[in-house]
Amino acid sequence: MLTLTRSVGERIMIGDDIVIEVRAILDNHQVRIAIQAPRQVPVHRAELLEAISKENRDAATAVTVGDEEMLGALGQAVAEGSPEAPAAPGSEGR
Amino acid sequence: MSATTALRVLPAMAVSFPVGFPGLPGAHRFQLGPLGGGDRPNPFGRLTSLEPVCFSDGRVVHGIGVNVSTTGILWPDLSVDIDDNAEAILELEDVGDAVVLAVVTLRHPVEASTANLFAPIIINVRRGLGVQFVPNAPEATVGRYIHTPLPLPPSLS
Repeated sequence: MLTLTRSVGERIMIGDDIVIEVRAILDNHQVRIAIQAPRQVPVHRAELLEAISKENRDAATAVTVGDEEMLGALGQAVAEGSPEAPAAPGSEGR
Repeated sequence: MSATTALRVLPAMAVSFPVGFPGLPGAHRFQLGPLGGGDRPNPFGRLTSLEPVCFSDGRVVHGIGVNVSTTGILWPDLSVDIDDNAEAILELEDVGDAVVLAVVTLRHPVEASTANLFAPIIINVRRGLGVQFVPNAPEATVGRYIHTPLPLPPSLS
């Protein structure tokens, strides 16, 4: 990992078209930075992306065939406002 | 550009995620399809990776995917302000081509199942392009919306 020391107003270039500039160093030891990148390049705070990644992994790994059948039937009940929703499978193994 | 969707049945289509899918490394191409079968309206569907997912612990998993829901039926008031970045990724020119979905995490009992309304999936159905939209919101708002309860019928809630 490359580690650089920069002062306020100085910049870092990543490739040809990504620019990171140190804008300010705040009293609470936080650093304000500005990022200029092409529109197609997503820029996110890491903790947000990590929370979403974890939720996606949980969603992907928590599913069995029985769950999908239940969700499919549940969806029809929800969409139609039917009181006859399907029974949920047991809670074993979770 | 603000997107909502009133879709009652998910389309069956291939969707490419040009910048990938958070948490599922290596997955860019997916198959979207409705769950439940039949012609009756159903807000739920499945987004299945057509490529193997390579997790950081070395596991390679084929056929993995997530359950999703159209948001129009379950959360009719939800609208998503799509930013320039997402517009560019989706090559979105007409907001009418945007479908807003939420990743559903099934839990047991089913009443504990949740949907991620913090980071909805937006699909340009004309281009077959998708992105999970990550708003630049304060971290404190994540927990409030990432685990949104499903509005279940009275018999289940």
